[in-house]
Amino acid sequence: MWHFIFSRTAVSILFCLIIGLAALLAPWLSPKDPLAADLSCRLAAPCAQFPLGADQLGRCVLSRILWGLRLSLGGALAASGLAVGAGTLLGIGAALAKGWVGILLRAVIDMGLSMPGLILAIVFAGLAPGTMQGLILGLAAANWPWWARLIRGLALSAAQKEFVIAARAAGLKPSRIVLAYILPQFKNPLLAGASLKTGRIILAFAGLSYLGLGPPPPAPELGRMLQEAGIYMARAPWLVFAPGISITLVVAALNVAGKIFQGEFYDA
Amino acid sequence: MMPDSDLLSVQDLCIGIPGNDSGTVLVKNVSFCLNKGDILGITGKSGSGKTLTALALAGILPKPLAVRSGIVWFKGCPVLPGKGGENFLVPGRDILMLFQSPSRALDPWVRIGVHLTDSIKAAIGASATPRETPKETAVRALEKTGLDATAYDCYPFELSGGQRQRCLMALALAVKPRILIADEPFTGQDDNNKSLVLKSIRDLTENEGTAVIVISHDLRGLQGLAQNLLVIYNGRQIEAGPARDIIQTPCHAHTRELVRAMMFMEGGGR
Repeated sequence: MWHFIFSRTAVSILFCLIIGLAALLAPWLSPKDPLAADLSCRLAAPCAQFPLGADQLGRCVLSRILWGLRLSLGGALAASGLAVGAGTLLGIGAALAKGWVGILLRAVIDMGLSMPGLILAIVFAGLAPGTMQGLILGLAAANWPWWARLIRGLALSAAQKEFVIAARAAGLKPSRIVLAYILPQFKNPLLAGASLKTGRIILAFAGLSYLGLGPPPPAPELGRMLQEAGIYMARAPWLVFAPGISITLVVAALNVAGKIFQGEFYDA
Repeated sequence: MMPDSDLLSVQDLCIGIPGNDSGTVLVKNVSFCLNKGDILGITGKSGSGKTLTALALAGILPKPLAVRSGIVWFKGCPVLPGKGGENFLVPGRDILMLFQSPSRALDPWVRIGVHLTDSIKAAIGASATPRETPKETAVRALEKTGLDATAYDCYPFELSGGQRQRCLMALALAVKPRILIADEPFTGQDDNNKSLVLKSIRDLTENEGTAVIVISHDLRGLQGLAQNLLVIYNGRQIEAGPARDIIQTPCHAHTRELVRAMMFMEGGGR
């Protein structure tokens, strides 16, 4: 029992849970309105009124980070979900479709893989610049080829399994075989991959909004907060540390959780 | 030429790799007939082409392999396995193949009941309306093989190897195909399970009129079960006819070897 509580697994899962809850409950947890400016408290150091200090417009940094987590986690999960969905569909199609459809899908995946993710993300984010949707689309566009390749490999090996051949020989419809007999086998690799990839996506999310591709200024986005805080680094270093450390901790927790999932599934 | 059997007639079946004429024919000129309720044994050394013949009939030859030539008649209509035309063997309903290893033939992520009902639905989907629900059929088939209804909700890993073999037999009993192919159904089974396999096969042939093809390298298992025997050696059919005649007076040297090996094992290895 104690052994489990102090294990890496428990700590990282607990930490992920705390972050998730903080993001989910931001409207109730944050002490102040994240957008309410009070110029009299400009660049205030951390104190009882502003636990993590106040920014260049006198807004509460703690509140902004809680709301920012909400934006980043929500956006990253949406982008991850889109990438997993598109990748799974295309990967299964590329592995199992016969004739030119399969060849075409394989070519599309190879093309996706050959392009640098950051460029793809910027191009797609540029379709709806300065919005959350654009950023999510961009990150999904950058990540689906990785999923498609993973799923294609898994589907190819699953299709060779004797029970899949047996199901075909028993006359089951191909759609039924894919949904009920092949897809459940992807659950563990998907979970492990998703937790690792979501961490990276959060990082990319912050990076792209640092470059100005995310939701527009008043929105409390961690990457943009970091960028805006840069010029005040000497006078108010907490403005840089607070979002920077939050991003680092979230990504680290997800990475450790992902590694643990991976170990659980592949060592067993 | 019309076939001289009422169910399945295979003439000069050749299996190989298409687009390459020299030396890639793996099974050559296999011919046999099957009537309703017949049991045909196909025997030969491992690698002789027994399983390939079965896979070709079931329409699931692995990728580069294909039926090169030959005619297959099913109920008086010419059909070629693996070719989607107006005439073909409907997988499941017309022909069902039971694989050698029950652990590999069942999806570890899928419950036994789902395996059974999916196959039942696929088989009856093409024919008349059923008298009972697929679940009832499945549970009845499981009970026939000596398993109880709790196996319906089990995953394959929750059952022993012998119980999984029973599940496969239950699948055959539930689907009631016109033709059943059993690939090495006796390998690695204890006597209890062997007798259950025999009982299930007899049940199908006598009550449902299913024709059964039993593939086995073990002549002892086929003796007394199959009326007719087909001996394949290096992809060639070397002997065919009533099982009793072949075992008593084998013509081909390889068959004599198989029979001698069988006698040797029966004599306790002396």
